[in-house]
Amino acid sequence: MSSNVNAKPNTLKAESAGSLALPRPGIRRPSNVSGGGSGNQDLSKQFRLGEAVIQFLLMVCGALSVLTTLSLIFVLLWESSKFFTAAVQPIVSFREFFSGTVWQPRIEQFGVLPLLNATLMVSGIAMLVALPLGLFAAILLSEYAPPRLRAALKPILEVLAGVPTVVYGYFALTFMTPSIRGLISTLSAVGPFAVILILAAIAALTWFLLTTGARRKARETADSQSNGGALILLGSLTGSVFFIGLLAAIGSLIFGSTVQIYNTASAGIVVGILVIPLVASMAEDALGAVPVALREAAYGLGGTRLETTLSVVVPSALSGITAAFIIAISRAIGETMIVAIAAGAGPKLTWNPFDSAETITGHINRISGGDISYNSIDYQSIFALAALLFFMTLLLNIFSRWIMRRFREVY
Amino acid sequence: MRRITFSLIMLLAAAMVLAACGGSTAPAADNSSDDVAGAIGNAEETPAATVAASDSAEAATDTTEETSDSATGEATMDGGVVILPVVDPLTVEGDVVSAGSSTVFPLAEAVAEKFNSEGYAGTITIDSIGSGAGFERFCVAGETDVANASRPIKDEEIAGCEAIGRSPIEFRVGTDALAVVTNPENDWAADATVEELAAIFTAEKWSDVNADWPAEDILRYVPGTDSGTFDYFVEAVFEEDPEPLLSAPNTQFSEDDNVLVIGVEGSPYAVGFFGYAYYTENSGKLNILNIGGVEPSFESVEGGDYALARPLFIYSDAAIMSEKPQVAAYVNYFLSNVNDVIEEVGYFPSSDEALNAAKDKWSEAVGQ
Repeated sequence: MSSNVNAKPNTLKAESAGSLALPRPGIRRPSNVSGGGSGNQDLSKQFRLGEAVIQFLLMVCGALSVLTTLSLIFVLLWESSKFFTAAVQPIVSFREFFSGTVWQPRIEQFGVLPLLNATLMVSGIAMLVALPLGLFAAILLSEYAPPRLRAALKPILEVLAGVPTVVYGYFALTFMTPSIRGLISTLSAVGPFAVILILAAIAALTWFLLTTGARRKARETADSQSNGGALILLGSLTGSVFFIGLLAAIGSLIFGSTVQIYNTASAGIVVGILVIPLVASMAEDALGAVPVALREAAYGLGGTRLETTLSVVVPSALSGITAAFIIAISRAIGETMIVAIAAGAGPKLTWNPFDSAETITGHINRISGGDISYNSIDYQSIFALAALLFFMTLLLNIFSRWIMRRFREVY
Repeated sequence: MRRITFSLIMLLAAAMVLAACGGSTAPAADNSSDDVAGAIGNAEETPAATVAASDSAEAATDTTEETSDSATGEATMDGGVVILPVVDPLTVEGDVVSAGSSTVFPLAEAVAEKFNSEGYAGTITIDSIGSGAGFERFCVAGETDVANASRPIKDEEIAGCEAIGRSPIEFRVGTDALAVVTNPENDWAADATVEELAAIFTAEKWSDVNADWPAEDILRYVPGTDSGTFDYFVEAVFEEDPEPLLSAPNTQFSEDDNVLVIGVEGSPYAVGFFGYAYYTENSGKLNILNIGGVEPSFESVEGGDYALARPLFIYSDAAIMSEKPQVAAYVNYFLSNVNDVIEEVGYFPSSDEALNAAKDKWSEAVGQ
């Protein structure tokens, strides 16, 4: 054993010597060229083995991803075509697939609507969260944040993007759901009239904090004692409380006060949190691409920073921001782990976000986890669902590219 | 400088890898030598222990000899438990083919795994095709050596067996039971008949089952359709028709028992079912329903009083066991070791009497 330990560094040295030898041909070549003295033309025509190998490898890498996509599409179409043709009994028609309201493969009910509805609901709730928060984060990072704050915030946002989705799933189940339950049950215990009063009070407080904060901020240069920034921050906080309370109140008024342990609301909110970094970074890129000249022109006309941002910068970057939203929607539609853990495990056609329902991805995840047999209709149904998901995200991606091209302002 | 640090790091990594490798083998060797030393030390101190040890060693060598010549040996009694001659898996040769119940499957698989891990070199085929199909292959096609079943064999199946010259011997190996559970806040439902269960698992509201119960939606948490648990519940409560359960509102299906436990914990109006073993792990968080006034327990399950329980059997034949010593060894090993793995698999062990009876049947069949 000890001889092994001694042997290791020797082989290491040999290896490193070998790797050092590699660049030598590369070093020799330029001297060759200068020796020939025939200049650039010779250089491009000369066959260089190293270059060719690297080019070939790069091409293989590129081709590999294209091939993977193509074979994926092929498998999806092939297997799902079996679902819609007579390869396995019973035959499922497109019409039955898209108009049926019950999905229960075991008793031959193949209506995709409950699954599709749950998927769209989770994505919709996710976008309600990710749209404003992501856009505001992008505006803050691109227009307001001083470099030091930006340097601190960016990595935090990236950490948010790096959290494994399983963790988000349990976050939804063990934190978000109890929070929603607590909030809703408190609201319904307090009663609708008191809720309106409380919300009005919070709104008034927000208004007061924001306006006085802004006024003080404006005087900041003259009065160094002013703490307008802190007031604005406090105002934003009470504002968020107001919106969360308002949403919860509206939700409990429409859908009642019972929140299931598995529900689409908490899954949707957490999926929203998951895609915030995606929205924020893409929207920030779009905002950053707006030429400084446009901002300066707006300032020159006497616009404040808020006016400049809202009426000049954001509209100019709208195509990029819209594309970011659409990409985020397609990401939310495809999200699996969070909905598998927190949204529920039974297909159900419901509009109630506090009720449990199963999304397409969640269903695929659950069914493929059991010992399902090949060549059964259950097995083929998974491919049909996967193909549906694929086309949804494909369409959204194409749409976002089209928007990017069609509405891009070229400066 | 960089190369030096790099080679240092590599050296360190290599050293750690070697240390890790050494770590897994060296201490094991140490332990065994320690054990030997300990055993010697003990032997010096207590002569009785050495006698016992050498006895057992002798017994072990005896049984290996016995099993090598086709496993004929005397069964002995020890504290009310019949001890069959010990099988040495290393000396068993040839394959075993078995097929049958998907409920017995995980149990048979666990036993076969243990058998293989102790040195059995052959292959044990276990097909999970259902009890009926298992008997079909054992009695009609005569392809299998062992049939796994989650119900006793029927008379016409015995007749089929006898037609091809086989007389099936039944070995009871354990009992499977389902637990129907509710939320601890559920103080209205503590007992249900099988008919009421069918109602609870199909009705929309609790008040639809019993007018005194709350007018709230019943939230059902049910094992997935691919599981044997689902099939057994449908068989016992819905007469093998899964449709009412599958089309019941507010029903969640999951192969993951934990999802069901969290679900039932999550609402006072929830109800669910799964293997009894999983209930015992979570007994603090859940209420269990009595079925027709019978509480699930070792005795009620064993005696057949608890409605959602069924016996688990393996079947073989004396002629097959004497023709193929590996089958006799497998059945012996199954009966002798099933109680080591059965609770892990999630079933109830059979009573000593039932297991003794099975072992006696084995001795009788092999002794012929």
